[in-house]
This record gives sequence, structure tokens and C-alpha cells, in this order.
Amino acid sequence: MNEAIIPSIDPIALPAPVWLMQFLSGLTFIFHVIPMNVVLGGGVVALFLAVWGKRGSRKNHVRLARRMTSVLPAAIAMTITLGVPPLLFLQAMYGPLFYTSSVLMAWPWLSVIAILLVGYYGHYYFSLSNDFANPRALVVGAVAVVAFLVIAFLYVSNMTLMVMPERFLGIQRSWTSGFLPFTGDSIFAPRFLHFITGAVSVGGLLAVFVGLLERSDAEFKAVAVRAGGFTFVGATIVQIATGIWFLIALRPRVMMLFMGQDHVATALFGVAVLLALVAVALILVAVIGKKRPWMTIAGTACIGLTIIIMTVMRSIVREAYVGTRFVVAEQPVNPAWDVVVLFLVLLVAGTALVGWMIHAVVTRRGLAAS
Amino acid sequence: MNYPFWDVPLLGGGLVIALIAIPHVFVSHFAIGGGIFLAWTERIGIRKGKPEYIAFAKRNTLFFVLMTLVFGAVTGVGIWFSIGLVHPDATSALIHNFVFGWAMEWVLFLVEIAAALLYYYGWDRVDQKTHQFIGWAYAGAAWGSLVVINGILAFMLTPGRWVETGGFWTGFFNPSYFPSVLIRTCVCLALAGLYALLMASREPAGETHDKLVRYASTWLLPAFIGLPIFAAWFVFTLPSLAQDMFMGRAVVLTIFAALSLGISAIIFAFAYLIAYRNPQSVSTPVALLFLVLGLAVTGVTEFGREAARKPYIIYDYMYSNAVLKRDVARLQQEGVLRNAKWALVSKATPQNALIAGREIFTLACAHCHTVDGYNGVRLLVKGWPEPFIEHQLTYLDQLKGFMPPFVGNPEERRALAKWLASLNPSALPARTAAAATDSLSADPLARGEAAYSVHCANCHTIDGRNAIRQHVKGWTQSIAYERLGRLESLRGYMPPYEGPEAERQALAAWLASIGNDAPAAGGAR
Repeated sequence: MNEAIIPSIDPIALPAPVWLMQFLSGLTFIFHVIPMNVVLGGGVVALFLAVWGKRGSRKNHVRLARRMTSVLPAAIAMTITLGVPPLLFLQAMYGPLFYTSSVLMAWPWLSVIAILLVGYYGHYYFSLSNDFANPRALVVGAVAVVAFLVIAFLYVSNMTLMVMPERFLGIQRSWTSGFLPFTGDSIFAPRFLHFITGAVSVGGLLAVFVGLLERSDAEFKAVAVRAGGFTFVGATIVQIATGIWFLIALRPRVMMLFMGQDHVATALFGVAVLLALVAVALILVAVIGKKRPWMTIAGTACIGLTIIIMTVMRSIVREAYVGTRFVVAEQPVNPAWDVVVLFLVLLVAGTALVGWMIHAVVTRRGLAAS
Repeated sequence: MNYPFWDVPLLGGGLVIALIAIPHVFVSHFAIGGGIFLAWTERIGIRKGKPEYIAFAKRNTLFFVLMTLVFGAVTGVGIWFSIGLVHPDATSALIHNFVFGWAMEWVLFLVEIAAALLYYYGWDRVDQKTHQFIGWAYAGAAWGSLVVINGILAFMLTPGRWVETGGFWTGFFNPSYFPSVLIRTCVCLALAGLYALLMASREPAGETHDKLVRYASTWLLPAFIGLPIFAAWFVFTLPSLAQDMFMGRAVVLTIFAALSLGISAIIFAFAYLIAYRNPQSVSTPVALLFLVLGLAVTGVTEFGREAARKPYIIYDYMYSNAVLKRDVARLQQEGVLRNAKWALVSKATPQNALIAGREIFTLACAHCHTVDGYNGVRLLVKGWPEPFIEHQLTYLDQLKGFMPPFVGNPEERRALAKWLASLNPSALPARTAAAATDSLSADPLARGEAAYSVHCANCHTIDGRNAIRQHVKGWTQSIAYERLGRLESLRGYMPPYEGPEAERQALAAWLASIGNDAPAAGGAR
């Protein structure tokens, strides 16, 4: 059962070079993963603050939770919308791996849609409730938070299975085929925990920014920055620990790529860890020192860079796992440059239009003013 | 056979897609129409100084935004998930050809979502001119996403010259592209009008109620005028087999087409006779009923459009069972099992016939058939002896135009027939079954009748529909024998007789006997 069966590559050639599709996939994935972390981690942190705040009558914590939840519906919309292109390019390039792993866990994979609807409407309800006066709001909020954790679980499951074609046939022959998510590899648990703790870190950063943007209430500002900052620091330290566990759990030949065998991979890994540590230090100082918003911004920038590096590392791990059994760059390509250029032009124009509209609404300066 | 198969018991994968796609199609068309409706209604309010129109648009913004952002977006992703699970080969083919089409649609969707949210939040924040601009950006991007995705949807039914030449634009601007985009635009406006009718019906009775109801009903006018013309154009662009299926060759499809026309006519009659001429009589339950009818007509039309593609998933390129048209001849020689990556056996033999048959069913049939549920094969073959099933499989595409040809080799066909026959073990009367399988039966008439049940009874009865007795009236055995040798020249739609010589003699004798007999009491057999 360890024979790796991989479906044949589609006979229709890819309409753009693989490097361009990989670039677009990585770029859009980064834009997807930021709001996704806000939704996942922001939801967890907000729910915790809401429950904890209500229990101990900590008004500022409840208020912080309330402010955080108000961001969530828009963040979900962004997550879904920005999640489309990476999934699209993934399917175009890795179809034989991705469709197979999806079919092998079909019901759980399809259930993502139903769970997403529950989580989405749940977070709307959670965010629109008035300071969580109705206990039902907390219950619905908890359901929404769990829904997004389950979605994360299922995504990690599918993305892990797709790089292990040697597992495909065994699962396909099992009676559970199509019914159970894949968890049967030692990298699953650390990979899942690594991403969850990363999301909680981002949730902490969200709380910090809610505090920094507060102008009138100094007490609330201090509570938000402190709660968010410590959440960020704690979660990032745990994330580094789960990251080490994840690294050790990788197949030895893949792990060794980050341990000196591949200079680029090793450098990326080193820089990512360093940036995470710098971010922890900056945010810790910002929280303790209270009046250093630039440190928070610098810490956040470090985390942003870490996410970019992690995205590249993720792709290195994927390629290394699949190895020569599926070499994405060997697919037939017949570039349709006119279509590619049209897409890029539309992307630039669309982004500019959205930027202008946001600017007009936020600053209340529209066409009449100009 | 390239990918593992997702077995969905009872429902079948096709229905899973339909359950997600139909609500999505309804909501997405409705949301696109909603964008145009909001921008236009606000414009009328500003231009003609009608504050009640502006207020009406404002009150309805959140609903359209939530529909677009949440339900529309999530079910749209849901279609993508489901087609990838049910038809990975077809999804892959579409994505390989149209990945940047989808990417462009995504940009437009991104603008639509952002503009919709900003339109909602901007009502009291920005000046009217800017708000109108954002409204038109919302409407334009929403309609633009339809213009793009329509190219991919229409491609599946009418890929046109793409099959020979390939290429993005050839596939995109395919024969049914323009009529489809016009039909969909009309539907968007009509659905927005139906929703607006519902909202207008909730206004307190009075002048505003009547004015808004009448205004909402006018949104059905483009569909009333345009749909018959564009639908006729659309049908004209279809492959002839799909046209035939709409016109009666596939009864279910004809019924669906009739339902689509009938329900649409009822909706338009309501919009004109009640909503436009007697707006005061439009109550919320009535408006709701017609919105539900809008959902129903969306459902039957989409179902019909999808079914018209049979036996293909991408017309003239890939069959519903993911077999490429160009591979059929090769697979009929080599066999499907040898080419199936995930099958339990790689060859059909008399010893493994049942296992091989089940596997072949999964590979060749299960994309459209379940065993016991939707389009369940157990009931479809009930009463059919094994040789008859095998005969059906041999001429599958000729006997049933909406089915693909059987793609296995003769051994695989036999194995599938055996497995299918095993689904109803005691289905046949003993005499017929024995006669059908025992070619050495002493009674030539019994052998002839068995041959009839195998070769003819799928389309003919003895004395009922398409009665064979009427066709062979007055035939002698030699005439019957001669005509069995050139069936396809007697009627172009009949398959040639390909049974063994002895069986042909027996069948001719039996035909001559019934051609000169009086009908049996009891009617159609």
C-alpha cells in the first residue's frame, strides 16, 4: 500500500509559466493568510476576553472583545475572497495531488462549506450583540470560534495529505475513504498547533492595535495593549515551540534541508525564527514601556515578514515531500500572455478602484470634494 | 479513472452539486440584479427628486450585501469544492484552460464585495455623487463577474471550435456565449425585481406602496421581452442532440423545459396583471410566493441546462464519466480496468466477473448512476436478463443518446452485465431466463422469444407501445431473416442485428409466428 499512485497531469497545458503561477499563488496566499489569522486568532482571543471579562466584571476586557469582534465579519469576507486565487492556482498546478487528497476525505472537505456558513453567520451574530449581554451571544460566538478551528483542522488535514501520495492508495482501499479527515502522520498535530498558535498571536496583535487606535480612554487603551501584547508574546513563544516540534516531525531528509543541507532553506528558517524573536522582544518592550507604538508597528512588520518567509518555507516543504514523484515545473506550458496581461491589468485597475473607494468612504472625501 | 471516485450513496455526486449550485445560481443572479437595482433606484431618486426611492434603496442595501458577501460567496466556493470532488478531471480541464478567466472573475468579485460593503457603509458618509459612483462600481463589477463566468459555463455545453483548436478565447466566446449572457442578465434583473416586489409589498398600504410595487414590477419587463428571443437564440446554438433532447428525445428534459417556460409565464403574468396594473392588491405572502417561484424556475432551468449536456461533461471533449472522447476507441480495445489507477482488479475474467463488474460500474457509470438511489441502476435493469444487459451496453449510445458509449472491452462488458444482472437475482421468469441463457434449448420458438427479449424488447413490446407484431405482420420466416440482416436500413435509428446465426434463424421463426398470430389476450408484453 506504500506505492504512490498519482493521477496523470491534465493534457491541457498550463496557460502561464509555473514560476508565475507559483508567484501569484504565494502572493495571494499571503494576503489570504493575514485576515485568516485575524478571523481564527481574533475570534479565539475575543471569545476568551468576553467570557473572562463577563465572569469577573472586567468592563474593559469585555469592551476590547466587543471591538475585536466588530472586525471579524469583514475579515471573514476578506479571507474567503482572498482565499480564492491561491486555491485556484493550487488546483491548476497541483491538481493530481489536491483533487486526490480531497476526494479521499470528501465529506469532511465538503463540510467546510457548511461549517463556514455557520461560522460566518455566527460571527455576525457575535459581533452585533450588545456587549454580550445575552449569554446566547457567547454560546454563538463559541460555536463560530469552534467552526473556524474545525475549518483550520480540515485544511491542515487536506494540505498534509496531498503531499503524501504514498498514503493515497491505503486510504482509498479503506472503508473510511471519503469519510474521515487525514490525521495519520506525525507532522499533523504539530503543523495544526503551529498554525493555531500563530493565529492566536495575530489575535493578540489585533487587540494591541485596538488599544493603539483608542484616543480618549487611556485606561481602556492600557488594558487592550497589555492583554493583546501578553497574548501575542505567550502565543508566539508556544508557536516557536510547536514550530520546533513540527521541524523534528518532518521527514528527516526534509528537516535536513532547513538544517544546513539547503542554504536558502536554512537561511529562511533562521531569519524567520530571528524575526519572530525580535517581534516578541519589541512587543514585550512596547507593552511594558507603554508609550512605544513604533515598536508595536516594527514588531508587527517582523511578523508580516515572518509570514512571507513561512509561505516560501511551506512551499519548500511541499516540494520536498512530493519529491520527484510529481515535479510541478515539468508540466506542459503553453502561455496565453494576452489573457495573463489582461488579468494583471484588471487586477491593478480593480485594486486601485477599491483603494480609491475605501479612501473616499474613510476620509469622507469623494467626487464632490474634488 | 484517473482520480479516485467519490461514492455518494443514494444521492449521487451530481445531486450534491445541484443542491449547492441551484441556491448559488439563484442568489448570485439575484445579487447581481440587486447591485444594478440599488444603483438605478438611487439614481432615479436623485434625478427625479423621489426620496422614497432613495430610502427604499437604502433599506435594502444590507440584505443584498449580506446575500452577496455571505451566501453568494460561500456557496460559490461550495460549487468549486463539490465539482472538484465529483468531477476532478473536468474541473482540472476547466481550470487548466480558464485559470486566468477565473482569476479575472475573482478580481471583479473582489471589487463587487468591496464596493457593496462601501456602498452600505457609505450611505451617510459620502456625498451623493460618490455614493452613486460606488453603487455603479458595485453593479458593474457584479455584472462583469457574470460576463466572465458565463464564458466558462457556456463553454461546457458548446465549446465550439475549441475542441479542435484549443485556446482561451475560442473556448470563452463559444457559440452559446452571447445568448447565455443576455439570458442571465434578464434573469438577474427579474430576480431583483421579484425581491423588490417582496420588499415593496411590506410598505404600509398607500401611495408609496403602490408606486414601489409598480416600479419593482417593471424590473421584470426586460426578461419578459428578452427571454423568449434570447432563449430561442440559445437553443439554436445548441448541438443537435441537445436540441432533440429538449424537443422530446429525453422526456424529463422536455418536462423541465416546459416547466421553465410555464412558471416564467406565470411570473410575468403576475408581474403585469397584478403587480403593475393592481399594485394595491400585492400582499407580502403573494410576493413571497412569486419569489419562491423564481427559485423554482431557476432550479428547473439550471437542471435542464446541465442535463442538456449529456452525455458529455464538456461537450464533444469529455464524457460525463470523465472519459475523453478521443480515448474511447483505445479504451474499448485495451479495457478500462487496465487504465484505471484505483481499481481493485486490472483485468476482467470469468473468475472475477462480479468484482470487475462493480469496478467497471464505478468507472463508467457511477458519475450519473447510483445503485439504489438517484437514477438507481438496480431498478433500471430490473427484469433484464444478462445477455440483454450486455446487448444494451453494446449499443448504449445508440439506444440512449444521452448516454456515452460503453468504454470497456468485450470481457469488461460481460463482467459489467453480469454484475448488473446480479443486482436483481430473481427478476426473470424462469422460462425466459433459461431460454435466454440456454442457446441449446430444443424449442426454436422459445429460443426466438429469448432472442427477442435480448435484442428487441428494450424498444419494442409485443402488442403494446411500438408493437413488434404490427411491424412483422405478414412476414414469413425468410423475410424476417432477411430484414434482420439490414435493420439499420429499415429504420435509421435501429441498431444492426449482431447475434449469432442460429439465434437469427430462431428469432426469424418466432417473428414469423407472431406476425401471423392474433394478439394474445392481456395486451402489452
